[in-house]
Order: sequence, then structure tokens, then C-alpha cells
Amino acid sequence: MKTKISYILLVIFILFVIAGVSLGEINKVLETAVNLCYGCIGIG
Amino acid sequence: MWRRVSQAFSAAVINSHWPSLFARTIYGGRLKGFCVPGLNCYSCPLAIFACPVGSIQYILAHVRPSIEAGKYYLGFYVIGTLGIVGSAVGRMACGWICPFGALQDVLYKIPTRKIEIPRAFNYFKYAVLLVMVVILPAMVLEEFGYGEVWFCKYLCPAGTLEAGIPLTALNPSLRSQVGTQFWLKAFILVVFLGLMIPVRRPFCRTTCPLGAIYSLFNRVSILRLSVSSECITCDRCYKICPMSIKVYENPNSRDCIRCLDCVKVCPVNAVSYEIAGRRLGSSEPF
Repeated sequence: MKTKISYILLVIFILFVIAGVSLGEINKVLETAVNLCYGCIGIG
Repeated sequence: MWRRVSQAFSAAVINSHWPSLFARTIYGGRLKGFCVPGLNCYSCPLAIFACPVGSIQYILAHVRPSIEAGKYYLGFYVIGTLGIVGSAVGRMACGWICPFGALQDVLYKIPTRKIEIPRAFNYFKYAVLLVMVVILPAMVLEEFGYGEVWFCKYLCPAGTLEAGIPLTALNPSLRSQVGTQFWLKAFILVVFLGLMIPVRRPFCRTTCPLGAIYSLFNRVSILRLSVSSECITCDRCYKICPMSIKVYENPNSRDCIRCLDCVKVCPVNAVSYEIAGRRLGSSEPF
């Protein structure tokens, strides 16, 4: 039963990634990560 | 042995953009669009991937303007990435990949009197996840509708260690902007570094929001641990466990980082790991 749940979850999250990529979220993450995060450094 | 190799290899690969160090900036290539499964600040000069905790906060902090612009960035990509890792191996990334986890393992090896922290503290990480990573970035908005990355800004010691200290050391213009917020974060880092010597993985156990997310999958992931009736409750698994778990009481505890050290030390091979319900190992993991 638990194994079935794991595979169902895996499929759901793969669909999440596909949805995110098709919405363009990968570019949003890229845009976030390539700019210096002043908050992370502790000065923003 | 294999876990140490994996931790060292992951830390080296995740932080492999040495030219940025000499240019006193951060890497800006396409790889930064992918989230690493561990806690590794994307503002670290060496980092080549994105931090999932920073990314999800940023997306939530910009969720209102994105909806108003008809873009609907709701975090599916980051949540999906974490969900895939979690439903496959639970918290294993904490034990085998996360560079900040590896640092804690190394510092705990310094010989000194070791102490245990109360188990109740382990629940604090869920509050950190809910309040600092989800609620505050999405709900506390400035006049144009943008939120802030609260966990990164006010708490994350990995960001201070990997990004704050090297970038301010390398860059005089950033150094001139150092103020109270930087010193508050530096103090938090020093407290955790101090705790890492006598306490096993204090940050992972009490505060890490990424560990909190993965921990929700431990009971239902494809990779799970099991303990057979041959167990003699000798406590060797408990003594070696970096998360101080009595494996025979709860082999798939939410705190288990799947380091598999318990599998290795069990004298009667009672602890084993199974993939999709099939028992695969009981003595030499992988």
C-alpha cells in the first residue's frame, strides 16, 4: 500500500514539475538565482 | 565511507564555479535554473545551482504581482522537484548531498563532551517552514505587492557562511553596507557552529525547512528502512545515528536522514533498507 502511495506521489510531483516548467517557473528560478540576493548576504 | 565520498563530491560539484571567486561575483549561467536538493545558497560565489528554499520564498514573495500579470507562478516547479526527491528517498539528500549537513557531520567529530537536545526541539523546523518560508513571504507585502525572503534574510546560517562572509570579504562595496542584519545573521551562524561540535546535526534537527519538507515523505518514500524481529536492541544504531533515533522503535522516523549507518553497524543484520517494499540491504549499504 505504502509503495503504491510513493509511486502516486512521484507521478503527482512529476506533473507538478511539468506544470511549473510549462508556466515558465524555471526562468523565474533562474532569474532569482543569477541575481545577488542581498537578503541572503545579510545586507538587504 | 560511500556517504563521505558522496557528501564531498556533491559539495564540490554544487560549488564548482571557481572563476566567480576571482571575479568577486556569482555564477550567472543556465544551470542556476535547476534546484539542488540540499541547502546551498545561490548567492555563494561558487554555487552553480539554485537553492530550493530561497527559490520557493522568492516565488511566494512575488506571487501576487505574478497573478496580477497573468503569469501564475505558484511554485509548482520547486515543490515538484522537492516532492520527487522526497517521494523517492525521503530525507536521504540531507545525509548524502547537503553540504551544510556535511559540515555538521565534520564538526561533530571534534572530540569534546557531547550533549543531547530535547526531542521537542525537532518540531521547531516545521514552524520555521510554515512561518518564515511560506506565510511571511507570501503575506507580508510592501506597497507594490512584493514580499521578502524572510528565512534567507533573518535566519539562514548557510547563506551567511556560503555567501555573506565570502562576498563581503571579497567585495569592498558590499562590505561597506554591512550593518545590524549582517551581524545578527553572523551571530546565528556562530551559535549553530558552536552547537555543531557537541550536538549531532543541530540545524538539521531543529531548524532546517528543507529537512522539514523532506521529513514528511519518510514514511511513504520508495526507499524505506525496516527492522526485523532479530533485533537485540543493543542500541548500536542509536549510538551511531546522526539524528539520535532509536531505529528499532521507529525505522522511518521523520528525522531519519537515511545515512544508512545503522544498517552498517547492526551486529545481527536486523536493520535493512528496502526499495518499493523489496528488502535489498542489511550490512553493506549500496
